[in-house]
Amino acid sequence: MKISKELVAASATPLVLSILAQGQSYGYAIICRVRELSQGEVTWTDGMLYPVLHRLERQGLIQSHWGLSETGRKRKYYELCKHGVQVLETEREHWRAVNAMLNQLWKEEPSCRIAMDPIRTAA
Amino acid sequence: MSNSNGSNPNSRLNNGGLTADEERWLAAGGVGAICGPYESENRYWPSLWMALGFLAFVGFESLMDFCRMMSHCFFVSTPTVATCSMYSALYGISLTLAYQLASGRLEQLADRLVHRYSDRRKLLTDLLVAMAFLVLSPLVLQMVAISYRDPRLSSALEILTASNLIVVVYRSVPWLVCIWILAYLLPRKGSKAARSLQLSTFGLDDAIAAWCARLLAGESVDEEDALELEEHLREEVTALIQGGLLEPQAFAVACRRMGGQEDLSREFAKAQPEVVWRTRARWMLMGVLMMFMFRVVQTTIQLLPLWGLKLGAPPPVDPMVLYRLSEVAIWACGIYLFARFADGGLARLAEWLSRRHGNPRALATDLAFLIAVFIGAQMLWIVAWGPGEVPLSDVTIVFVNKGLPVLLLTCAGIYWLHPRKAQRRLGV
Repeated sequence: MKISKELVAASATPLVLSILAQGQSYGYAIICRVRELSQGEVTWTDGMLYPVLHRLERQGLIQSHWGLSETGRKRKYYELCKHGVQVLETEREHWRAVNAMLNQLWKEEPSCRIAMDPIRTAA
Repeated sequence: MSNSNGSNPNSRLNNGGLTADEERWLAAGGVGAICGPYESENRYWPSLWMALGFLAFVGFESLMDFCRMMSHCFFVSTPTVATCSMYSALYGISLTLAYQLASGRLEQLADRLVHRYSDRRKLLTDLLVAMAFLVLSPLVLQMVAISYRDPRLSSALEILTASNLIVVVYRSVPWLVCIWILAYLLPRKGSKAARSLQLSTFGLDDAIAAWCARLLAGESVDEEDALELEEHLREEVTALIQGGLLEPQAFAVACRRMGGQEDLSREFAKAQPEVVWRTRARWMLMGVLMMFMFRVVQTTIQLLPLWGLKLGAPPPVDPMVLYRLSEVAIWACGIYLFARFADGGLARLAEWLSRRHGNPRALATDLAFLIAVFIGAQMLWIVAWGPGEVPLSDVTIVFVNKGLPVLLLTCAGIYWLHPRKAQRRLGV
């Protein structure tokens, strides 16, 4: 499934913040987690994650430090800051509100389809 | 190579697994598309911005000359006061502009200019117009003033000679050099194929190094970002190889997942526009500093024939001719060196210098050295020409008004824009 660029951009912040809320992580692990969560349905261009991470870092939502991986190579870890927790809370409220609205509308889907489909209405 | 997750081939659950799309892409020769010969961008950005800094400096100087000539022509009574106040006003304006640019307020304008000047013809036209205005208008102004003040000068040639044509002519040389440099650099954008990776001789480390080099050739991804992306790429490649792919295939798929380097560069720039502009401003200041170094070398070398005269060697030709010839020769050398090293060596030298200048003590040492050489060259100048030719007060005024502030501001700017400092200030 190809999700529009705008939606990917909009959902990136809450996704990254929510993943980091579960503990510190690094770029590749975050990408893997997104793949896992979407069952491979949502495809991100891997590299685009990093500008998002850097933007969040500059906004003071997350912070980073260089550490070592299991294999001894350098790796940059990210973790949530206090401000990030607050922003995540706000994001969660917003997304819940949008989600609730859409869910309500889509529960009424059958009537919706009849209204949209004049041939079936006639039949 | 088929390594999809059993029941659901579309799934991309584990990272060794490929989506159906990726399998199709691999089957259609995707490995060749990524690992095959490709064009690599050279790191020409630093040189481009250094040339622009150099140009800004020359433009600034020409503007000062313009103001100085105005003051000489029309306010004859107190030229020094008028000149000094004009210099101060110009410094004020340029500092304000620089501050606005550094704090990101002129970004949009600058971005628009950068966009406009990606068309070489537009850039060159604008430069020529600026040059015509800044270089030729003082000449015209002075000619008018002289003919107005001294009605005895009748012929055009007399007026031209009196208005010190030679100064204006060699003021225009740096402009021409800048125009030439930019004309030389701009169309090189992404030309030269640096290296090609052949499947038969595929080496993973080489391929990754080439990938990183390409990423670093853009101006928005710094070494730290590149290292982070490299580690990501390596982990993905390892996972894909564990999933059963061959090295070139794993590399190709990992690169494809990572996204095109140009897109990445653009996204990085969008995420941190002020960092990109800080880097550009730093390169421009490095250009000014290099211009200073070049001038110091130039002045010193130019004085050699005059020193020869002082030491009593018989003059083979007119010393003035010798002096002008050496000037042309030095400019030619400068141009050649710039062209020769614009793609890498110059950037590496400037990078080394700017890294060194993150340390205030090293910066202060270099500054003191430059000032010492500058003063030394001025003194040599006086000794060579005789104090009657160049009065000491004039040299001091020029140095205090023009050389010293620009040098100090340049060094302060380089230190201020140093990435470590900038990051600390941004709270990174």
